[in-house]
Amino acid sequence: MAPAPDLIPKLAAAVLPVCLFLTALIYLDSYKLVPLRRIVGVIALGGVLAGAAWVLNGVLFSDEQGAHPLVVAFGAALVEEILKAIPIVWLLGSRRIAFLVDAAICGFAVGTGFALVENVYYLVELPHSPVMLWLVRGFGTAVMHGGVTAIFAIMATAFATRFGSRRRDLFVPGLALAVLVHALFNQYLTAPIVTTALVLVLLPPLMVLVFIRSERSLESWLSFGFDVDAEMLRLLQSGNLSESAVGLYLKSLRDRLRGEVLADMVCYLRVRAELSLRAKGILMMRESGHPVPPDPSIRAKLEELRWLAKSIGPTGRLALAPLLARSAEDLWELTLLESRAP
Amino acid sequence: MLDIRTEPNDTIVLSGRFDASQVEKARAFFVEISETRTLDFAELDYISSAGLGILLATQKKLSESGHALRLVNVNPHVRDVFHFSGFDRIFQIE
Repeated sequence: MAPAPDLIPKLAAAVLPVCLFLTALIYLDSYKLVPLRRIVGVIALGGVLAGAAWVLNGVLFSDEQGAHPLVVAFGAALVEEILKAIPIVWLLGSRRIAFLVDAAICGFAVGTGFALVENVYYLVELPHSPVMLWLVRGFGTAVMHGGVTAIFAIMATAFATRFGSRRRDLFVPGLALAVLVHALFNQYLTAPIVTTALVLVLLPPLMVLVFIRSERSLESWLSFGFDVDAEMLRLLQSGNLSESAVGLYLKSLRDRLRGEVLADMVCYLRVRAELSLRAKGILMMRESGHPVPPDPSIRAKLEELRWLAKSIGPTGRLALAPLLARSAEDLWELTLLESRAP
Repeated sequence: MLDIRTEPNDTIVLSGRFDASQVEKARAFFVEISETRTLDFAELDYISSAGLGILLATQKKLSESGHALRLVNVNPHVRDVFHFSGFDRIFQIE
């Protein structure tokens, strides 16, 4: 069969809007929190998950089963959103997401990959469908796919920051909202063009709001954390550690921990402060537009930190906890350094 | 309190504390700089990330026209902060 003459404009309408939206999100992130390599990987994973969703929905909601259309609509949305949530849950669990901005970008990227594969598949299946369908699928369905997964990622990150990332129920509210919006969108309660317009009107301000809030919180964490790390470093190098509050606390542990463990705890504080300053320095350089040259010493320091953590053991690490910031952002910065270590 | 003064040899001397409360004052001063200048840190007691942010932005602006900030008399602690944060690769420190 000859290809439809208007295939190129249809393809452009189907894939460009969601790609442009994702590009805008990446551009808006002044700290460049998500490496391009990760974004590409997440898009590819989203594409694979679209294939998995197609197979699963085919099995669960085949025509022969005669399920109620509403059950199919919500069931299919649930399957798709659970699948799209998997990469976000992994990224959060492995501390590769810590701020609302990187959550939004990664979430939207998963949805982008999902939508690209879905739209290209339908375009191959329905080559002679009208251009209007591809405008609706490109500006509406595809952007909705990115948007709802971004909302899921943002909500999960916000709850993880507030309540800790170990709680399993922190994913439930975001998933419920994503499924609801997705299923309602697919119902086309109004004309498809109106639903598409609604997505385009509501999503950009929501994203801008998230970005503004996240950048404020990042700036505040960065500036406060940098000064705390610099102060810790000053204290450790001053020669007066034993008279400080930190020193008195460490001395109070002498009866319970061996001397070499205490010595390694001081080393741990120092290496951690040095690495933490480096991570925040990278973000500050990016924010002010400076290129960030590779630092060959990072890898060795990360290895030293791991060795010290092992040497100190679980009890020592627990004893150090009051002296160390352990927020999601602080753990994330070590991941940032690992990704940059040559 | 941060004091910024320019010596007859065009060296900029920073004295006191360069922290968040001094950012607006410092920004108004540094935004006027358009060519290579020397910053003397000898009398600087303290610089926070807010102050470093101003210096980074100034260095970026100057580097676009082939100019730079040169830092002198940096005390060991501030030198360490520049070293560990990686800013010593952006600024010329003597």
